[in-house]
Amino acid sequence: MLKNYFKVALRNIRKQSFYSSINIFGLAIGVASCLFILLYITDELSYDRFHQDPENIYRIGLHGRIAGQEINTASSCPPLAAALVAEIPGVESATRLNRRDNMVFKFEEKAFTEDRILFADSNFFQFFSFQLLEGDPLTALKEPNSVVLTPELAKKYFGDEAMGKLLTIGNQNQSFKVTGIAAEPPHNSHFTFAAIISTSSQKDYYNSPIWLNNGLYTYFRKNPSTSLESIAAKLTDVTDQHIAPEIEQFLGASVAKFRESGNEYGYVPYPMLDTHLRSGWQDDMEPGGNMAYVYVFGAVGLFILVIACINFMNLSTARSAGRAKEVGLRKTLGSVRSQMVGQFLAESTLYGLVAMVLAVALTFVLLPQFNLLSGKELSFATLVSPSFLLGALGLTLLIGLLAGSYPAFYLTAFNPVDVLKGKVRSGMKSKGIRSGLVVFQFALSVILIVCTIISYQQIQYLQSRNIGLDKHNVLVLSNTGRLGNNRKAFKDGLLAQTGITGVSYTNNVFPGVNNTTAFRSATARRDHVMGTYFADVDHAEVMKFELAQGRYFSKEFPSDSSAVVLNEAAVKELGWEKPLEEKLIVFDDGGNGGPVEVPMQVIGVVKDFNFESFKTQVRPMVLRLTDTDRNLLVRYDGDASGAVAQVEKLWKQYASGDPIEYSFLDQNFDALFREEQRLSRLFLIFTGLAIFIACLGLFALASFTAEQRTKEIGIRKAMGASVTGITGLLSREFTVLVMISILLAVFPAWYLMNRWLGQFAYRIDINIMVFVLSGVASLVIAWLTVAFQAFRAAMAKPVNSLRYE
Amino acid sequence: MIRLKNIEKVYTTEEVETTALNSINLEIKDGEFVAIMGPSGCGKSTLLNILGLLDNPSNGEYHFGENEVAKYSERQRAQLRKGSIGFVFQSFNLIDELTVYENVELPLLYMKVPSDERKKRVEEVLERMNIMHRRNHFPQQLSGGQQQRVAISRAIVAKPKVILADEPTGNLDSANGEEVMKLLSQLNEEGTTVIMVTHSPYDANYAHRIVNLFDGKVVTENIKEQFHI
Repeated sequence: MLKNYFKVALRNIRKQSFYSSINIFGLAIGVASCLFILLYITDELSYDRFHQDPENIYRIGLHGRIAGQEINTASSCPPLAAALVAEIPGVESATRLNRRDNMVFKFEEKAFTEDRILFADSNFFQFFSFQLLEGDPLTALKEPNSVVLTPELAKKYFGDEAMGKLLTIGNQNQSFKVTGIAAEPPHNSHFTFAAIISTSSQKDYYNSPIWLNNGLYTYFRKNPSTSLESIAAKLTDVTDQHIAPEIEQFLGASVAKFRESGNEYGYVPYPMLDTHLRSGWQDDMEPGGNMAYVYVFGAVGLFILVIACINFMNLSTARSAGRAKEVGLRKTLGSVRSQMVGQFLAESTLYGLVAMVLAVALTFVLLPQFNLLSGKELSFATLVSPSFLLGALGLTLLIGLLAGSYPAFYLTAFNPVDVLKGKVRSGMKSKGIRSGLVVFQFALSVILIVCTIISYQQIQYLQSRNIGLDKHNVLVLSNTGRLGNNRKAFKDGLLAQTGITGVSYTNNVFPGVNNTTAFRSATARRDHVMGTYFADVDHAEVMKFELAQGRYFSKEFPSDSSAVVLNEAAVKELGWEKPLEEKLIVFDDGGNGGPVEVPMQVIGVVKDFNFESFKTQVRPMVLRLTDTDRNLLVRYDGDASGAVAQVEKLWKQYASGDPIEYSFLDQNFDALFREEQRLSRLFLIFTGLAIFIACLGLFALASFTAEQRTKEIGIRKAMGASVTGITGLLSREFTVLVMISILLAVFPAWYLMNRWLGQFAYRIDINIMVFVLSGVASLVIAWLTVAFQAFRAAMAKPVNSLRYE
Repeated sequence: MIRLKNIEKVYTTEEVETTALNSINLEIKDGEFVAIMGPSGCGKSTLLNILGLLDNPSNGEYHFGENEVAKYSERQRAQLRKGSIGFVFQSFNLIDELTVYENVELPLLYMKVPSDERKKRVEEVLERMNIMHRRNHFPQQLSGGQQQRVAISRAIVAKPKVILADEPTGNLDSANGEEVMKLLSQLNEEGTTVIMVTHSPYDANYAHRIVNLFDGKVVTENIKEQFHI
């Protein structure tokens, strides 16, 4: 009997090979999308779990409020780690890290700029679970001027044997001894590295006793039996004790008074495992993920699976409508209902199994493309784990049961006489449910279309928005310290080139400012925290920002070295009516540890321009004058590659063998929303898939309905109905369903996107046309899908449907 | 009115060619009542489908009124069908989802008759068929005889020149069948051409002429004197 079932199942697949392949294919795509999303989410959730006891590792963030400015930074100060271990019970160990980019590495003739250089304490390899391939984990980072390399870097500079060799690192040309080779860190770590340098190499900073000096990352391991609350409370006490004298020294006020005027300052411990997805802290080593996006993707994955399953069910039902006769016959010949139920369920499970195998194969083939799109390094190995395979098997059974349940229980319940006489028209009863499912599927698709369009528009807007400076055609050269004393000559040399229209030195590269500090209004004697950077006299011309008042720094005024230029936000922050008549006090290093007040004349106000993330409003900013500095901005005309060639040629003349390093200002700005771009691309793909799968379902339903209404179509045609008329008749029903789903989708889509846009300080308004466009698009797609079926039904000769009635 | 010349209909599947109709020559005059008889599978229904412009012949000529229609496209046939030909089927073929009134209205809708006119004509014909009181019922709520009266109403509402009836009494008891035959005769007397396929010699007696088909050929044609039993 089993053989007979199998035979019938196979012949059914073959007889309706078109439907069968759509059925299996649709489900396979749905399951494959789901697998991708599952891989993505699993990866996001796996960050930092490879360490031993990751639950007991904590990081320290700095939360403060000074002069009305919120500070939430992931960085802390050099003496904190030692104080944690020494003064707080329950802290077992602590370690410190810092990250540098753009360091020149040299060995013999080889010189390259390297990124991802960590400075780490000597207990790094005991604290974390990174693998040291060569060298002693206890001592590798102990001595000053020790460096641990990844195999890739070791090979790049030394070939086979790197241990013990000397590498020249940094602009000061210090020599470092290779004391270890560490395995490339896993990609799912919240920080990665290419090389690690011992903190003892920079004693000045890492041994500094100053607490108000936050520039590194502190980690500690907690005793599992100690509560985090008790540690946090003790940490507050310890911090207060240490920063009190410093606050008094630097700000001239007691801690009590500092607090009274609304200021805050303290360290907050938080789990390392929260770093990647739930960190609200700024200035971290690498940009993290976002828990909200994990939820969004999870929801999309679930929706796609549900849509695919619904389709599979609808398609199976549509196909089984023609099998009522088989059921009747089998029953007449002595089959029991339970046998028939088993037959249908086994059949749909067989379909599910084929689809699952196909989905896994699809995932395997497309994984590299998905990695490219998502910026991940997902591996197929996760998919072949036993727990995953078990889950897949369970899912297959579930899909089989779900999809087979309708024909299995509904069709087999009929009286065989009725079925054989054709009195039973299967599927009519569940029409309401099916219509509901179509509405649900399409509402979901419309929401996805709207989200895709709006996120695309927002990204376009961010890219093309006038940010108050001209980010295009500017080349950014960093590490110009490599030019030594030739910086001035290099600048003059560049200006002499045709096609180069402006050159400016600055200590800062947009986006962002590298220094945020306190300033004092000379008249009001009040402190304000504002961003600040240095630039030379040509800066305004190169960046092309506009002045609102006064003038920019100029060579004609030697006194400009004690002048500042503010942005409009700074004027507002300081509350000045006539800024050009005011003086701003800056705190410069007096040389003996304490700061010195230096009054600076305000000579100009620039219009606000965006120098930071688009998620925040323009902050107050103070511009100060410098002569030469770390970075050089080069504005060019015309072709970028021509400008790069000119700059490189000149660099070679002046920089004596050190590598040149450059980027483009517009690309640096675009990098700010790279994550959004990537997500929007992924969204586009999953939206396309969801719509495709939903259309497969609609296609099936249309064919089902056409099948149901064959007789009616025949009669109407005999009465003289035209093909167009019949096509319209059959499409109308679905058109109504899709219109309902559009209406249902409008509000959730608007709500979701409004929330997403809410995180941007500069955002588009949601245009009603987006909804109209999405609605029309989904209608057209649905209509094309249905029209094909309807047209086919309408073209059939009425003779065929009326003949044997 | 209708002239068939050497009409052939061949059904072709991958391996077999089946000839359903073989050089049929037939002429039906305006106002005639013709019965087509023959055993099962002789090609009666195929002939009726071709006569009713539901299907095209494989070969031969078909003159419907002035037009040679054998090579007409689906669209042209549909155009000619509506208004010119009314159908009565053995199994009534009413649309289950539409009421009696809506079923009868259907041909007029496809002819784009204005709604006032439609209402008038539908009510007229329902009145005449004596089923006005059932106008808002659905087909399943009616007896077989009533359903066939609805089907005939639908066939004549557009005032067609020809009515094609495929075993109109096949699913009815004798009383209801008799009634249907009388209706058809009456319509014929009022000038409508009636072509009817039947198994029943009794029903065939209502016709002016009986065409006997066997294996896709016309074997006999007997023109009867008009008489009533």
